[in-house]
Amino acid sequence: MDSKIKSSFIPKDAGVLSSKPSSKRSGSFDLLVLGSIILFVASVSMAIGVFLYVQFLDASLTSRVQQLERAREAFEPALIQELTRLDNRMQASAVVLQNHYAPTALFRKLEELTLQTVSFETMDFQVVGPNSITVNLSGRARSVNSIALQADLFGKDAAIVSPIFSNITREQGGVLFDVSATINPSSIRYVNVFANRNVREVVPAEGQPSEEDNSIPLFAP
Amino acid sequence: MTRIIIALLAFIVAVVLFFGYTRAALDSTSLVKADIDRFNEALSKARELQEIKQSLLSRYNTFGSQDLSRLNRLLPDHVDNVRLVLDLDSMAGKYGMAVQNVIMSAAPDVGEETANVLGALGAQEKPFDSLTMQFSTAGTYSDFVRFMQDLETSLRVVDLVSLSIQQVNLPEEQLAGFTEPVYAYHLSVRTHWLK
Repeated sequence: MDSKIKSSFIPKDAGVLSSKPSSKRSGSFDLLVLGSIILFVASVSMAIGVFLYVQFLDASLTSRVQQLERAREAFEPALIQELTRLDNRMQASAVVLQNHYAPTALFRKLEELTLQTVSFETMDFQVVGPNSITVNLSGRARSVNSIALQADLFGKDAAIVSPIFSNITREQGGVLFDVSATINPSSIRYVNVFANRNVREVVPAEGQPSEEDNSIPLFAP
Repeated sequence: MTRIIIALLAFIVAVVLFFGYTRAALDSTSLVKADIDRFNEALSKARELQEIKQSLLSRYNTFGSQDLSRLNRLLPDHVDNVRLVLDLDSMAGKYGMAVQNVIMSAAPDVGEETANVLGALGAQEKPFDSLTMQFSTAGTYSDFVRFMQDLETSLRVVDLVSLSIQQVNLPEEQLAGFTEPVYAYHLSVRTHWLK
């Protein structure tokens, strides 16, 4: 009769080696594989994200370029050029007018200051520099006293600066003399003369033409 | 073994993708972003300029066409010196005087005041050019003063540069028409036009 009692107390798998170290290696290997896959997925995702972002930026750039192009067209370069030229013309005209002289103001001044006993025979007017105007006159006076009085009158006037009387020569029928002086430019500057003229003509006398009637000669093509 | 190959391939592809495309693309985006920022700035300036343009345009529209035409005559685009001589002659002719011995020359620099006055226009270059014209005429003093009055108030600006007046001793028969002494006038005038 077979006894059912196991006679050996030695476990049956006592001779089989333990598999625990092998499973540990396999686990870390799996981890490496997993890491690689995660890296791959992350890299691909990032590449897709960057690609889409680049596409978005490109579209945005194109849109800005188009907007700028439209803005440039809206400026109307021809109109800008016209406005710029007008601006230049206005500024240049202001400069030209500022430096424009009214010589008739000098003639009036001389008429006003010249004594009845004095006459002028020649005159040289010269704009030497931007703020330097000279005038040389040669004349005839009834006497030396007339010349002295004339010198006094010229000396007192603000428009005629430093008048120098010279070459005083007695001749039959009068005394010849020369005068040289500089002219105060502001006294004959057109803008000043015109402003003074306007002040005088604020209220035109009855029967006289108004300012609008004094047509400016159109002196250009 | 298959898993090793897959892991290796995944790693290689990830690295190549990152260094081959992603990094370069990311670098290029910084340039594009800088461009976009610049364009945004330009657009914002364009909007401001557009507003300025509109305000200037509305001011320009208030100018009358007659005023603009007069401004063009004051400082024309071209010197048109032949027309200038004709106009001067007809102006002198109104007072029985004739323009003679006309000489044209480029305007000499009479100091640099214009450049100084220009200021905002830039000191180095004037926006207009000038031409000097010399001529002679003869007539009575009162006629000459009226001629000068017309000249100085003419719409086209003509500046007197020099003037010489001398009495002329005409023969008796020529003097018959004059009640005043006759003088000879040598003038040098300057005119301007916009460059």
